[in-house]
Amino acid sequence: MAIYLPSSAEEEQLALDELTPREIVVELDKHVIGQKNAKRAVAIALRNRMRRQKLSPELAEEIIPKNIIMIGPTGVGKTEIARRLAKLTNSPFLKVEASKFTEVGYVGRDVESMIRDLVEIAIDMVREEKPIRPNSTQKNGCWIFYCLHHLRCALRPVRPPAA
Amino acid sequence: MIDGSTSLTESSSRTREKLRQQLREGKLDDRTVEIDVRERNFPSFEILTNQGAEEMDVNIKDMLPNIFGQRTKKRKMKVNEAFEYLIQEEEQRLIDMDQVTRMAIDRVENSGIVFLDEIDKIAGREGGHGPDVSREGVQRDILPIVEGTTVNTRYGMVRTDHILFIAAGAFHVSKPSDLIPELQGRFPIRVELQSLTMEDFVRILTEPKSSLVKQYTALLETEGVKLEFTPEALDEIAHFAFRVNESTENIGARRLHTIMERVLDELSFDAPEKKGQSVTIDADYVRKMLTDIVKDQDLSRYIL
Repeated sequence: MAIYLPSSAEEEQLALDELTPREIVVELDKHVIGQKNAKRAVAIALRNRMRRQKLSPELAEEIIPKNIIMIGPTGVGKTEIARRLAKLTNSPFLKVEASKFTEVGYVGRDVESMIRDLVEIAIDMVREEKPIRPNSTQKNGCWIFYCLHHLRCALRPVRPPAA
Repeated sequence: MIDGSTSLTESSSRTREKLRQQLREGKLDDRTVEIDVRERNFPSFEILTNQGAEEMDVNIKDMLPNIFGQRTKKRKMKVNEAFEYLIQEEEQRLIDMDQVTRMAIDRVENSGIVFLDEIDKIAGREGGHGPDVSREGVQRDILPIVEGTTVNTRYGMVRTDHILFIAAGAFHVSKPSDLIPELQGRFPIRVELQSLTMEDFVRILTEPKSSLVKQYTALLETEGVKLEFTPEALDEIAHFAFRVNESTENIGARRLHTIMERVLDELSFDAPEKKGQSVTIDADYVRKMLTDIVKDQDLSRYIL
């Protein structure tokens, strides 16, 4: 049985969902210099998927994501923009080199592994942020009993012999 | 402590009460106890497989610790550490994996982002020459995933319809139009990123939250050295980075790392002896450290 506490992480998530494209660009500006167009594009794509989630399921189903190709020489911030974006929105994020995949049937990574890896990342994320941490009242309640039970056994051997 | 008239159980419950009291007050925090710690890093071995069998590999890994049973070992730690540990351990057990899985899959499907780097490397239609393990084939494999399919993972089926894909590439040789048409259609938005200018370099050095200048200043501060850059020095560094990028290969902002490291090479080495001093890096110093290397094209190819 699990104890679920009202997590503050969820509330935070809500706030993040409200990020406007402009705010996203401002956030990205803190980490990546220049590249206004790319920042705008990712901000729009992100906002669009937030918009999608507010639609009726039938319509949401029809809307495909606005995938992006970023074109530019190395070292101008392509990866950094994507990485910061993912951090900002708390989305599961995976970076892969397309060149490491091989066609099905050849030795090498098959393309589906990227989705598997992404799920793995998401699992870790959810597990991390779902703190079933005891809050203060519980710490004084059943938690202390539980811990005491373990500690009691442990404390005995090292207790100094009674004088 | 135990007086003869009280029974054994009563005394133990009293001890317990007392301990609890002390624990709450934090009096026991520094006491050392020995507790059983679950050993997590069981010997892992990879099973080399082709795709498909990857799933099996994962499952076997999951099974192994159960076959051998949970191994535990005794470890000594302070009471407050032990408390933390036990709480964490209990948390782990309480996590409802079903719910975690459901949330994770939901998150992947609705807000996952896949960043496909070096997409230009698989562009280029019919390879034609050489034993090129079909780039087009990879594109065709990627296509259904970008278009929306259902992928079987060890946590269940995942639909990829609404995962956001961001592809990136230099496209020096190939062009986005060299991708197979179906894939092009799935990436409706194209953005071009500009090469960085010298002004950009200066800003990159200083403005980001954890800029290079801030990093190095903080690093040397741990040695008790106060590091400062004059604006002219930063201009000079940016200038050098820009020039090297032009004359050798353009590696963008990464060049700043190599240049910075070179400029601060001596200082980084000597820092422990310079405790308490403050060092100002000015344009002359930057020039002194870099001129020789930058002048010699061949050398700079290797060092910068």
